[in-house]
Amino acid sequence: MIGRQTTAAIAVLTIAGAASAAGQDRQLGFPADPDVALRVYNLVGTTRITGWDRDSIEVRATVPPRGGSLFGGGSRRAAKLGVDGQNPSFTGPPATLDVRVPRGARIWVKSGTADVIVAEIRGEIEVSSVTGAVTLTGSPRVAAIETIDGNVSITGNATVVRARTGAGAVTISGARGDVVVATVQGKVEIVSNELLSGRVETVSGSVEVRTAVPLDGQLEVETHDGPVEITLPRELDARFDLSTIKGAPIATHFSGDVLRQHPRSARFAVGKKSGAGRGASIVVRTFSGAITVRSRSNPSGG
Amino acid sequence: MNDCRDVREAIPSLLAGNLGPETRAQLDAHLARCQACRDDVETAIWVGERTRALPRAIAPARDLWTGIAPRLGRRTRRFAAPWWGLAAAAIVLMALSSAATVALVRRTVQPDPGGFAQLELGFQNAARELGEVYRESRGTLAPGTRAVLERNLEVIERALAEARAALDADPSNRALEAVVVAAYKRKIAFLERASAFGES
Repeated sequence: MIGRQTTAAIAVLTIAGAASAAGQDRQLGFPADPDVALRVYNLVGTTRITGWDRDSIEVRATVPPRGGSLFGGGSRRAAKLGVDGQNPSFTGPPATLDVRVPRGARIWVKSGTADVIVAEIRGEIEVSSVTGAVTLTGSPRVAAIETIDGNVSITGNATVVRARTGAGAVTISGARGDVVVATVQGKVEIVSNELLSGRVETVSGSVEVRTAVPLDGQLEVETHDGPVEITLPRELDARFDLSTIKGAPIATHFSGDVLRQHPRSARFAVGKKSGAGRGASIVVRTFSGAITVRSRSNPSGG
Repeated sequence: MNDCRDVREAIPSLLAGNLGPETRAQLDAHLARCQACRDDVETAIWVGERTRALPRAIAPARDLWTGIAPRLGRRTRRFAAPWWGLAAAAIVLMALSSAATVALVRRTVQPDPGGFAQLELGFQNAARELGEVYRESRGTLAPGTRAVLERNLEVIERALAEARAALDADPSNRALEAVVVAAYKRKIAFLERASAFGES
């Protein structure tokens, strides 16, 4: 609940930010809890958010003339900041927000065409964008990214990843926990040493996954006509359920890279433990996409 | 539990968490080897999640109500505000869940193809209503955003049309039914997102 003092602080800072319409760089700072909930608004330009080991939020912003006004403020527990009054058709130099926040912060970012760059956050990060690219590095507990046409890049050991795009490509590198990706046309690439749970759904984007999956792990991919290529380690205990309705014959490369082709579906297990009903579950379903599954000694090594 | 009919009869208990450990183990074993039943369970879970996510009641905020109340006296031609959009979506999803439940229940009694038809009708209604909500809000979107959303929607609809045509050619194919259901889910989810962009 934002109290009167907080509201007043926001108002004061909004007015102070309005002065930036003259094109001056602005700087704001206010105290914050380690897990402060922060909402950031910047539709056009660039938003950069970096975690630091201080109990405060600091904002450095450049807002061009007629490009909106900076506002910001809140309590220690919850704050919001951003650029207000932006015109999406404004063609001048874009606004840039450079925000420092406690590493454990829980952050929500709203963007239009603005690129969003997030680094060194251990808390939670949620981004909503239209065409802006989203680049995340670090190990947040939760990373939830939604954009229609922007590309998404997540590098680091995020525990929970949710990424959804339309035509934007999604690249995830290093995530080990629970990863769910959905695109319409966007290409999906996931590379990890070990992925506990992964689900990818796309209409026509290509899907490439290179990872190990533990015994109790699962990987599920569903496409309409997007091709699927999965590379797994040679030492593997897994049960496979691969099926296509109209796609090319399913190609599997196990046992010394010998190519086997399966006309429409393939259900099989590899590894000693899979015979006892254990093993990772690998499921791929597609309407007309090609499916290729292969093993390598080091799948995440490229 | 070797019979698909037994599994379908067990779905309501599964969703309610009322299955005993032995029955659950039998069901899991069946699901592990039966794609069609897995699809049924996934669909039932999906519908259940959507239904649970719906608000128990949708009451307008006091300040909104003063503006809305006078308009209730005259016939409302279309949904004009995001709140009504959400209300429409809620109603549609409730109808969808009812249709899906009916379809699933009927399949437990008699596995007839009409169950899928009813399920599909629910999806079609949901997609149509959400499409209307989106069209109401698209005027508020930036032209670039609108173009991006509709380009993606075209891809989704093309995929749905392809899957539907394949099912028309092979109407008894359960795998194709699952593909069509997945395509509808994608379309509905995307329309929900697109409508949300209009509200924000």
